[in-house]
Amino acid sequence: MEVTYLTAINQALHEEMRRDESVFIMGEDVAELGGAFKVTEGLLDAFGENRVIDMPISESLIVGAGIGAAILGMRPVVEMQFSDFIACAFDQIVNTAATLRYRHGGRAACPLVIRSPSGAGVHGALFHSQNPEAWFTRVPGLKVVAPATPYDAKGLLKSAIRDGNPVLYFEHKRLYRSIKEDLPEGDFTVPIGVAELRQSGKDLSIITYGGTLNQCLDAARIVEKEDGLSVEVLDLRTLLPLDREAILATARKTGKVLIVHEDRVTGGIGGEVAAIIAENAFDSLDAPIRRVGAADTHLAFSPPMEEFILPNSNKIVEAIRSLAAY
Amino acid sequence: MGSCTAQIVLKRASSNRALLLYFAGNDVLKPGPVELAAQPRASPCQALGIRWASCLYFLKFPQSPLLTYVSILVNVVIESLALPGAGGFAFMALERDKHIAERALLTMDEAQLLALYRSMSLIRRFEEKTAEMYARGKITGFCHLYAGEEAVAVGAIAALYDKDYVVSTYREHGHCLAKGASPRVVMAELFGKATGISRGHGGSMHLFDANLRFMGGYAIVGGGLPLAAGLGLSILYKEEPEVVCCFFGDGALPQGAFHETLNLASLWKLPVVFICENNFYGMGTLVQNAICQEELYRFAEPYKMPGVRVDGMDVLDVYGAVTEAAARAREGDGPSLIEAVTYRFRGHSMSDPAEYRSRREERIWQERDPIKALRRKILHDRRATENQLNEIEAEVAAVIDDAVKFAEESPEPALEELGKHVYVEE
Repeated sequence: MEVTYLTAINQALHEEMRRDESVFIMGEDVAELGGAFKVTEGLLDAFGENRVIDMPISESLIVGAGIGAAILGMRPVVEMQFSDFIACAFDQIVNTAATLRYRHGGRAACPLVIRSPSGAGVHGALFHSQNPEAWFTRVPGLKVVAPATPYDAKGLLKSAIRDGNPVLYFEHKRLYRSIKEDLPEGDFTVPIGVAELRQSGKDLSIITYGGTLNQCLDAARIVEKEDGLSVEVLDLRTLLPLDREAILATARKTGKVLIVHEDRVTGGIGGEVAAIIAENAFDSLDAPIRRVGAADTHLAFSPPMEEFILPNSNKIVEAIRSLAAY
Repeated sequence: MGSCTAQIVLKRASSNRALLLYFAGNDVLKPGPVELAAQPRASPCQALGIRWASCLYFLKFPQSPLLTYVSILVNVVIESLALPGAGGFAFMALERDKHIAERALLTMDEAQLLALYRSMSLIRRFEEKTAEMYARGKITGFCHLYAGEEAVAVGAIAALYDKDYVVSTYREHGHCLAKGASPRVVMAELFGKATGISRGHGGSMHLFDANLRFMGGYAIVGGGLPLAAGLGLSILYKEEPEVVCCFFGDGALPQGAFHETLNLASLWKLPVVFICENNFYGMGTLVQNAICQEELYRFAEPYKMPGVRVDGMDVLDVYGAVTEAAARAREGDGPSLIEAVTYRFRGHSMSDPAEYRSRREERIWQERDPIKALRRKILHDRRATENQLNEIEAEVAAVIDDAVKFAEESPEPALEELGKHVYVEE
């Protein structure tokens, strides 16, 4: 059946809660309201108020309580209503959750999932638009995923819930209702730590994830039609740990790499990906690695400004052409 | 209006239902059993059709499953019996008497009263236009309207001097206008235009004007509270006479920032008036489902500051309480916590149809419309004529139409400005 990205997440939650009684949901307005974006709609009716819990507006507490329950073997899936609010819970995530297993010498685990809608493009202004994934991708002990398709949204969430570690699950709010996909019947998962080649090509490689995957595919179609360029597109899917093999394989194959993400260029994951390639596949490169991302400024409210800040398929087409011509 | 002591006995029927066994007072007698909550988590108040939601606090059945019977004694003021649409009888239970509001009404001159009326009407009209422009796609993004709550911002800010500071929330159009911002620049900001109060960079949730001492809306719940403490500290350090009026919603109370700020403000006797706008819902979550102490003003007690609950639908009641609290702060006696019980007439944001509230509850609150209430009071006491009030309405409508025109005609921000205000440029 064809389902949206949002429905895919909702299905994963339903199925995992049915499969495992230790899975439960906590967050702001997740129960009665079904979430600010209706991602958790129907779960309260299906599983009752003991397993779908409305929390006060206390992000630090929501994550901290999740960690406490996880230590005792529960599998909480907590929601940050907007990923921007995750800053209020930063201490619990990077200090408490990430180090929990290590600081107890491997004698405890924290199987916690933190879901949060991230990303811009809905005129949410500065505190409702951010892509905070790179704040966390340098913290050992965490895993970070960012699905770009309904299939991955469902499969990665299931894997995250079944994982024994704290997993940050960034879902792009612009994708919720804008993309659809036929999903197979029955249980399936997408492994954490494995990138997916979305399109094979020979002239150059685009490495991307999350909200910009479709823009990259659009751009690849445009340059194929108009310039006869064959572009390979690699979707990282997991941002921590990165799939180094897949990154290096595509870099070695085409020799030209364009990294695209909606997060800002400076300090974004693109920098780490570029460093991995430069350190390990320098000899295969035929051109400098290029990056396309959000401008290094804040996400302004003004719609034309926001559009100008963010990457889009035109900007990607331009970058492809200049890289191909190098 | 009459007052009485009523006894209420509730019996738990299930996890979310209770039976009213007994309700008795001097003036009303309602024998039970009456089923209180037909729908999950509906408050007894709704089922009884009680008009004043503050009594909801007293009547809410405790969460503990161990309690089967509860007997509560409440002091109630009978506001009206047999209110149409309010299910038989209604009463209100305010901790505070209304004498302060009455005194304010008597001591204010006509110009002051009409200024309050104008300010509230201006905000209402602004919000109505905002909703219209949002529906027409002129305003985008996340937008939270203040309609219904006008008495809180207007009453509180009227009790301040111009030089006093205001810190607000993401539902801050009203506070910003009440502090003196031109509707033109606020509307232009909502449109994202270069002429907006934050140059179009911030939008609805990030209004700011340091000249007006409007120190910003904050789109993180509870985000403004610590800043209010910092403003207060700066005032003390510079030995200035100003006070800070810090608005936040009921949803902010569970944030750590609330408790951290109140502790420090009390410890250092910071000149801050904390005003909690309790509109009963943090987005769609009822206050009782998020906060253990539903009488929010009682959070003042552990932080050793005065706490009062006021009728947030009565501009004069708010004005009276903030006048007292601001004077206290200015004299160096430290902060106060004021809980203004109020109601937002629309959903949490433009995309929220407020399905978690009954239409009946909304109607009951619309009867308490703060603008209509002041209008009734002014006319009843013959402080102004109907004509004068109508003229104000017309004038305000023209001002808002002009603001919309200004916003529509204003240019978009220049894209070259994008990198410009990220750092201070030498």
